[in-house]
Amino acid sequence: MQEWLPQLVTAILTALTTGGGLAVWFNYRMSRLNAIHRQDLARTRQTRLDRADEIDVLHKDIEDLRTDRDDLKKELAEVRREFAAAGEKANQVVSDLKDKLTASLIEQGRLREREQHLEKRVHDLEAELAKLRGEQ
Amino acid sequence: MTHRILIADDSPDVLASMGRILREADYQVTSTNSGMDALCLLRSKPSPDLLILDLVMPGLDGKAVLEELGPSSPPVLVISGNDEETKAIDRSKIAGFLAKPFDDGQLKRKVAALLSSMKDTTLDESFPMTDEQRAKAIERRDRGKKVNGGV
Repeated sequence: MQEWLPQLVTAILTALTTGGGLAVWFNYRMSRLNAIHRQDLARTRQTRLDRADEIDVLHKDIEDLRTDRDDLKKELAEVRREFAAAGEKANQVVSDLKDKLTASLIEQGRLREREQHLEKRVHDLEAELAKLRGEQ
Repeated sequence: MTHRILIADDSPDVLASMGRILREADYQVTSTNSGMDALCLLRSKPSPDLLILDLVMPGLDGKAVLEELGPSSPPVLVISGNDEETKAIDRSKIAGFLAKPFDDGQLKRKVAALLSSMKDTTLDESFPMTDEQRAKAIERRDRGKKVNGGV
């Protein structure tokens, strides 16, 4: 037997073993990468779905906020109308009271003058009466 | 000479009390509760010597009456209890102003002051005048109104 034959067989076996190992390793790496890629895809799909759900929820929130805002606008307009009406009514009440007060003040002054006039007349008549009595 | 006074106010209480007190002070008083009637009465003869005008009235209000007044209109004593309305009026057309509420003394003093101040400045419509004389007389009278009144 040639001296180099066992070395050759060993070399071939080693090469075969190494090649198989490499193939096994390569297969393992490939499957691992595929799994990672699938996980990534699944995660991305899930993220997309989550985002879509989130967007839907946000759209709904925006819709709700717009509805609330419209309701508030209507409420505000109503309050403004009521405020203006109340202000107008208050002005009218104040104006009416000022009219009544003016009329009362004038009337009071007129009656005071009339009273003074009558008191003076009574005083004059009493003086005249006393004079007449004195003459009698 | 008895002065003629026209009172325009939508409050019957104010009309009645002002009418009574001014009549007792020997003025000849006509009263109305509408701006439109006030304008008609201003154009009647003999025209009043003084218009006492409330600003807030239904229909034609005091502001609208003031806008309709011409140069030959009598002096106007504005009475009002509404501050916002008072700020918005054309002061050049007002001879005097009384803020409600006022009493009989304030009213009589104001009316007497306005009537005495207009003696020399009122236009005598029956007196023949040239256009220039009339313009000068109007200017003089209006100047007198501004001096004696104002819000």
